[in-house]
Amino acid sequence: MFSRTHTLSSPAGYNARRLLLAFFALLCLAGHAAIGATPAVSKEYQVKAAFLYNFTKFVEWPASRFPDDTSPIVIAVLGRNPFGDELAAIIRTRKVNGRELVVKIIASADEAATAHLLFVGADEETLLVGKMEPLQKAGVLTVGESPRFIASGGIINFTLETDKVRFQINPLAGQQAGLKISAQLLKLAMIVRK
Amino acid sequence: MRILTNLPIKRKLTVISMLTSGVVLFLTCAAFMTYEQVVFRRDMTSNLSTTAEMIGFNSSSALSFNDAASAAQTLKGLGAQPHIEEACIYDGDGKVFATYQRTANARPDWPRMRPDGERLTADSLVLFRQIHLAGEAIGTIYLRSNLREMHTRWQRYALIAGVVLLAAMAITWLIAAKLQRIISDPVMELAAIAGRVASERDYSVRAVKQGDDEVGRLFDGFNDMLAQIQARDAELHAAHKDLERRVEERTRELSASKDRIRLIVDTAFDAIITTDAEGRITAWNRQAETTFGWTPAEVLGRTFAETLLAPSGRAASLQRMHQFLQSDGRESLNRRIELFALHKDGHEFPAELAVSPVRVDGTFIFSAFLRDITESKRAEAELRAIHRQLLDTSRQAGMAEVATGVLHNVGNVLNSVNVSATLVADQVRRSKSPNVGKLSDLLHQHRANLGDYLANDPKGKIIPAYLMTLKDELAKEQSTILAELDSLHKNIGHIKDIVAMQQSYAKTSGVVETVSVPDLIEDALRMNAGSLARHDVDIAREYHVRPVVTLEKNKALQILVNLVRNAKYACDESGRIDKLLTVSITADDRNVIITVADNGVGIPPENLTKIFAHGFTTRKQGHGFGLHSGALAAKELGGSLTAHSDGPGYGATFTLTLPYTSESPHE
Repeated sequence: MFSRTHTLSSPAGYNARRLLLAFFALLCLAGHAAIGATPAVSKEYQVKAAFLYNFTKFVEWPASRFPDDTSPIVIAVLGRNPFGDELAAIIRTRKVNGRELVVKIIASADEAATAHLLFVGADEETLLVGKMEPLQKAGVLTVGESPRFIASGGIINFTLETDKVRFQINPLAGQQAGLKISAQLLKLAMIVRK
Repeated sequence: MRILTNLPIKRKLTVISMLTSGVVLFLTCAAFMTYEQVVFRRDMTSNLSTTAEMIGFNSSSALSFNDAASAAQTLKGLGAQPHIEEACIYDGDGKVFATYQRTANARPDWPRMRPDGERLTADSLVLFRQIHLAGEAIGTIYLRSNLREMHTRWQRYALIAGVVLLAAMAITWLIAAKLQRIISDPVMELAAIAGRVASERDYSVRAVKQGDDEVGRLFDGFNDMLAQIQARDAELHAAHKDLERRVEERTRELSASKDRIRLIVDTAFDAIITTDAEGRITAWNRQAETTFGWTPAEVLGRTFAETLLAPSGRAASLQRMHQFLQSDGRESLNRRIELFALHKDGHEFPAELAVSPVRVDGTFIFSAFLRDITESKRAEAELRAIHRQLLDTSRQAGMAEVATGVLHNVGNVLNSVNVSATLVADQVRRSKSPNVGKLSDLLHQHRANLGDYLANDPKGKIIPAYLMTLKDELAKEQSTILAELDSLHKNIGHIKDIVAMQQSYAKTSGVVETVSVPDLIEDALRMNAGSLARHDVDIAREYHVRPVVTLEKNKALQILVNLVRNAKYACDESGRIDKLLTVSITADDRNVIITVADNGVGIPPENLTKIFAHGFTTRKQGHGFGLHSGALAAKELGGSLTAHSDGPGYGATFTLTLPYTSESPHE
């Protein structure tokens, strides 16, 4: 039975996959140890960058959010970028369900309407005042990192639990934004209701 | 198979049926079980694979977000599938991420991560599957299932197959035991009948057939065979009787013919002696008893050569017999030979012996036919003596004839001698020599005045002239006499030659020698040379060839001498001046042809045949000797003598044809 599999997987494909796995493993490790090309970025933000990328896999946007089947998924970071080059490095060579990923650093929440995922750092939350509703309507997955973020209408919020990055999800908010959040994701999250 | 060959047909048929159905059933069960096994394994793999995919899907988020507890929780759900012994999730790095064990093991030993695939070991099925999320491989799941269910199934199937096999064998045995009788009963019946035929030699029994299948045909064939054997048996019996009768008949005939042969052998004029291959006498007829003086009782068993042959011929006879036996009969033996036989009383007698070998049972017996030829030998010797006598007589007669011829020649020469002698006598008688006497008397008277007398006397004056004349006359006389004397001497020498030649021929009479034909002719001419010269007969020689012949020289010479002489006479009688004798030699393939031709009186046609008759002659002085004996001699020499003439006055030609003998080459 192994042999069959062997014949199916060409050495080239096998090597490519291994390379990919190694790379991904590296990313995962980034969450545990402060190793990486950019020591300026903390381990916490390395993990969060990886989580941002992973969120795109478990969330389904309405078809209307994409001009066509190959349009990229746009990840926007509002205000100061805490990830350095980390996020760009993660998404550079990856695709999610056939779509490329793009990172945009934006200064105003108004620019976020075209993005699919918007990360708002704890220090930049002020920029969102009064903008939550339009973003929800635009179908943007909002991700924050402050205790008030869910309450202010955000969908996913990072928390720290004995140095381990966890996340809260407000499924209702997601639903209102027209997003389908996978049960797999919900399974891992702390479900929060406003 | 060997064991099967000697089993009774009944047992054989049962065994075959059971073996066949057993093998068929076994193969069917084996095929079915194998198929079941393969299908079950595929199903099992497929199920396990589905489970792996499900687990993979359910643990993808846990892997993505590094939540091992969640993954372990997901794995715990495998508890619903009791056959799964253990499971494990590896992260993308190949490190163990979450595990599951059905029964907790103190030291779980997780295998290294492997690519997709399954493997069947003795007691478990192991499977690896990659976990994919959104087109990306994020980890691997490992599952191990025990094969308890598979083994349980195996045991169940084996049990069912065993039971079915046993049941089928039992049923087969029952059916075969019933059905084999269809075949075995008739065969056994046939075997029983065949056994009866063999033991009782009763060919009249017949087998009763029960069906029209091959066995039925075997019955028919068997019955046919029996019928044929029966018929043949009867025929054989009849033939045997006939044969016995014929043998008896032949034996009777044979003994009759044997009696006849015995009678023939006993009354035969030859001694008939039979011996075995070693030469021991085995049969002895009555004539043998008469010839050799031995009775059969005495002689049977003795050796042929030692008992019946003279010691001088024994070795040769034994040698020939030995050679014959050595050649195994290929060499000829039954030649008729003459030898000396030995009588019982010890005397030897000439005998003629013929031996016929007869091959009997690989060896030979010999039949000897022997005849006493003492009488015929004596008669032969007598005949030879008489023959010799006759030969002598005839030779003497021949010599007489030759002598007559010689005397004839000598007579001729003597004529010349006579003439010469007469001439000399006349000459002497008419000699002027007495005048010498008268003249000397006259001179004696006038011896006183001889000179005056010779000068003045008229008579005396003519004396010198007369003396001159006388001298001439006397010289002439002397020369004439000398010539005649010379001729006389020559003729006498000739006679001597003739006599010497006759003597030489007489001595060599009957001797065959090789001579040159021209020499022979020259001899013949020389014998007649005197008379030929006297009668001015010219001789022309036309020797076209100079052959050599082998013959009795004196006979040929005798013929030629006669021919030359006859030719001379013929020329003489014609009275012509140009007398010519022509001798020619020609030859063809087999013969030498000598012709003696003259231009004399010739022979009238009516005489051409008569001239060869004894005593015929055309000459007054002839004495009958000549052409007759010549023709005879020519015949004796193997040739011929013929005459030809165009008639009186045209001369005659005699042709003598003589054969070469085989060894004489054509020159």
